[in-house]
Amino acid sequence: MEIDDHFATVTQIIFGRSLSQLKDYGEWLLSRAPEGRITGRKSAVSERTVYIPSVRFFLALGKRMVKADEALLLGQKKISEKDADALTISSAPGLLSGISTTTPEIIWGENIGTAESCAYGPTQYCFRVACCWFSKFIGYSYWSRTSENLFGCSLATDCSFCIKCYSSTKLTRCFEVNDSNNCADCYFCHNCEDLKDSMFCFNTKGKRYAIGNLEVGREAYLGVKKLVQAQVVGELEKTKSFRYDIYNIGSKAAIV
Amino acid sequence: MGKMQENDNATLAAINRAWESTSRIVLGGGVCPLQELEAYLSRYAEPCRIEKSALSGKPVTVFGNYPKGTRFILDEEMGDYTKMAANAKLDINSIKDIDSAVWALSEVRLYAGNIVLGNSGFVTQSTRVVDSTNVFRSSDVIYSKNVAYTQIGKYSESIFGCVSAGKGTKFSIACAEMYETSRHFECYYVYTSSDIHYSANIENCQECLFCFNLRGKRRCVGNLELPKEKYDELKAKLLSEARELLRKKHSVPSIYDIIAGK
Repeated sequence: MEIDDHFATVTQIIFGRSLSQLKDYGEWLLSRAPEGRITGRKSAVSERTVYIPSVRFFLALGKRMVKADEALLLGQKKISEKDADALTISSAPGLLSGISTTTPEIIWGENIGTAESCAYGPTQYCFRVACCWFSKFIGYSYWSRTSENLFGCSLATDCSFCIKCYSSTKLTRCFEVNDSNNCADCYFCHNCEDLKDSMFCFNTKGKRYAIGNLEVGREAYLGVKKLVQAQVVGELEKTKSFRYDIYNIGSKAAIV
Repeated sequence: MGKMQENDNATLAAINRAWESTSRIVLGGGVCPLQELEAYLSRYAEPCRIEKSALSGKPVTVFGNYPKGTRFILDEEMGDYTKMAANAKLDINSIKDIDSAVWALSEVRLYAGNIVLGNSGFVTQSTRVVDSTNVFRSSDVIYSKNVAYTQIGKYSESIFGCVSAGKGTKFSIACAEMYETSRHFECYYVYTSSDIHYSANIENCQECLFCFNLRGKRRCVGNLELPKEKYDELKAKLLSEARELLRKKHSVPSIYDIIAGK
């Protein structure tokens, strides 16, 4: 798949070693973006599979879901004038049962090569994404906008080449970063702004070569970065998962 | 009265004013104070959590799947945090891997809640709010005003109990997944439309009630196009019923209940 090549490129950039077979890492990528978990259900009117994300309001649609093209055909059905006169909020479920289907597959604009996804557009070569707008090469992610080459991310806007980043804007080449803005080449950072080449930084701004909010210089930083990259990619290759993330790295549980 | 309490009261007053005018515009009349509808309006948004600040003990609004034992601080406590973090002694040579880094950096690992950025004002019990005004119990709100019980609102105005309100969403109550839409109630997936109630999968439509999977239609009830007088009569009847339910039961059946046939 096209998206596998992009996953290999992004992991090469972030970890210094490329990982293949994106699907093998799906569970790990979704561990902190559970809304992006796409499941398939049978259409209410055919044998075809309807894709639905694990988002409360999509799941609430229940069993009466159909494919996007099926929904448009069903939209030609209407109730009678007599039923319209009799409509109240309490009588609506019964009177509308002939027309009240819908679809979680919101496909907007032009899309090329996007698969097993719902609520997206315009996109190129995205895989297993939900609420993905104006983006390309995104995998296992939820709510991304104007972004490219993201894997396991949620609520990322104007981001590129990131893995497991959340609720952030303008991130480039980042891993495990959340609630941050305008950062590049950062690992395990929270609530940061204008950081470059930094790791384990929390609630800080405008730093370069920083570890734990302290600028340590290029050589020292690159030394630690190499150790961290090797540990992450080694464990990923072995177990297809990694035990630390930006949410648990700060909890007492993480240091037990 | 503390400054924080004053700010909270001002936010609630402004939000309630916006709620009153939105309910008149969308539901054709006032219903009840906004806070009485909290359970109803919070049904489909992932909830924010209230934690305690590790520095001051004050309540912190956080969003995200943080495990037990995580320490939080308020965004406004950053000054104290920065001083504390600057005093932390970091021995770079002690960091051999992520496990040792986690130990070495225990003093800086505090997570921020109530994150309010840019030119924002009157934001209460909310987090990840950017360039927005009058925001109450919401998360991920950007370039918006008059927002309550909402998760993800961008370039939006007067939205209550909404999820995924995209650019240009205005005067919306209990809706999900919208884009360039105005005046709607109990809807799912409405794009570039206005005056839509109890409907799903609607694009380029005006004045629709109980409609599903429609494109480019006007004045429809149950997908059936009606003359203006007839449509207005049915709309008035249904909105009156909705207002009555909201006043008495503080809830109405949702669009999802209608779809599920409940």
